[in-house]
Amino acid sequence: MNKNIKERVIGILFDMTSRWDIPPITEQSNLRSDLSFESLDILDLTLKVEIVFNIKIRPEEISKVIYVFDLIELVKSKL
Amino acid sequence: MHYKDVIITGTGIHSCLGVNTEDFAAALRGCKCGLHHDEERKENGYQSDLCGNVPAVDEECMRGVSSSLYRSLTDIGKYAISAVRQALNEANVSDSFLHEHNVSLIVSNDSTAEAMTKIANIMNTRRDTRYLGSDAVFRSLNSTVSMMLASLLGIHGLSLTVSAACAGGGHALGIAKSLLDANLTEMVIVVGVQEAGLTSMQSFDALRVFSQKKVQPFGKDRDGLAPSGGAACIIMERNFDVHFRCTQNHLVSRLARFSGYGFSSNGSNLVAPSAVWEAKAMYSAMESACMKTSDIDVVFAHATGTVLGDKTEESAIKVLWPDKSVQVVATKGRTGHECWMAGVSQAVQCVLMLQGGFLPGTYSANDSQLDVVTKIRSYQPKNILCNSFGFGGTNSSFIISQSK
Repeated sequence: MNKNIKERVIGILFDMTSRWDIPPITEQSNLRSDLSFESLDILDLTLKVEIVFNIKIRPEEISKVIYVFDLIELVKSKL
Repeated sequence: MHYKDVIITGTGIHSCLGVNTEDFAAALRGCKCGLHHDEERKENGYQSDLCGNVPAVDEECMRGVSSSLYRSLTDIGKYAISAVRQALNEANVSDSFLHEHNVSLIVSNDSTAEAMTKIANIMNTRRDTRYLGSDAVFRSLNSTVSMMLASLLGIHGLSLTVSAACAGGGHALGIAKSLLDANLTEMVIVVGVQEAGLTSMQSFDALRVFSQKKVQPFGKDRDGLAPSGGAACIIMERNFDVHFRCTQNHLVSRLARFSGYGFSSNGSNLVAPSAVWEAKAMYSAMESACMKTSDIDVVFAHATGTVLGDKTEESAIKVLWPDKSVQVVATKGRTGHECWMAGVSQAVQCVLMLQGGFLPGTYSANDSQLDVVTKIRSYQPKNILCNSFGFGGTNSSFIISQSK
């Protein structure tokens, strides 16, 4: 289950960044500095994660997400 | 030339007749037509399947566009980037110049049908705004292209979108001249954009003004226009600033002079044109340029190929030039009607005529009492007066002249 969440989160990130010139996505990737996410990208990521996992994420929750690992943990906490 | 003259230093185009000014000029010189019959339109309820065949933009042209900006781009945004990059390159304008000087941007656009249709479809099926994503708002606002270009280019002057139907491009150019005349900005990037996709012209098609077979401006059997799209761009600067850039070791060519702009509104019917008010716009443009009718040697007609529109414009031209003393160019039989982009596209075509010493032909029979150029003429124009007229009776006319 947990492995599946990680794969699905990374899958969303992979889809979003398919045409970007960035390093491979891992749990340790920093969304902003490694994956070049801007504020709108974070918003788009939030919307996609909400839809895929059928959860609601509050702005203050997503603002604490720095690494991919943080996002995976946030999703886990809501399922 | 006066130091305050407004000079055109760059041009760019992405259209059904060519995706750069070189190809476009070659197509204009030849007898190429950019229109085709689109099966998809017939299958989707259009009354006419004749339209411009506008190529997609090469993705290589999108290099340097950030991810969030890229997601917010519609086809018109990509067309615009293609045209603007050509024009800035021709005008030899660097990124640092755009960032450090008072450079403005005026875009003519009047629709975002593609984006709006997508939003409507998602909301009708999902009923959840989260499915729209973060980019829908930026794709669907009418100012989508000006907001995107201003961010991409990093300019700090005025940035706005002009909406005035098919006269919008002419008005955008005129407003740019007014800004430069008033010394409010150093350079203006003027862009005209027009959607070319399936959803863009459905409501226009419903008016049954689209031709079934061939667009024939001023022709005997003309039966309507054909929609087309893309983007065109003109870079305008004051002569003084061009001179200053030249002294800074920039290689800048004075391609043409933007010498006058006039406008009028019919103030009556929503769609019916008015010869009197069209003539008034042309006269105002000449007044603005301190010119007489005898100074104008070419009129670049709006001439979309509709029965009433062309007849009315013929009457308007005859009011000012009753004796066939002016040559009349009309290219919409070959470019299609580029609507919100049309005025800027015509401005680009004027520069190509001035630079190349030719007048393109309509390649259809002339049924008017005007000296319509039906086949290409080798001729060096001096002052070309251009017309762009739009729904609601908004009329724009402008004059582009030799730079020498």
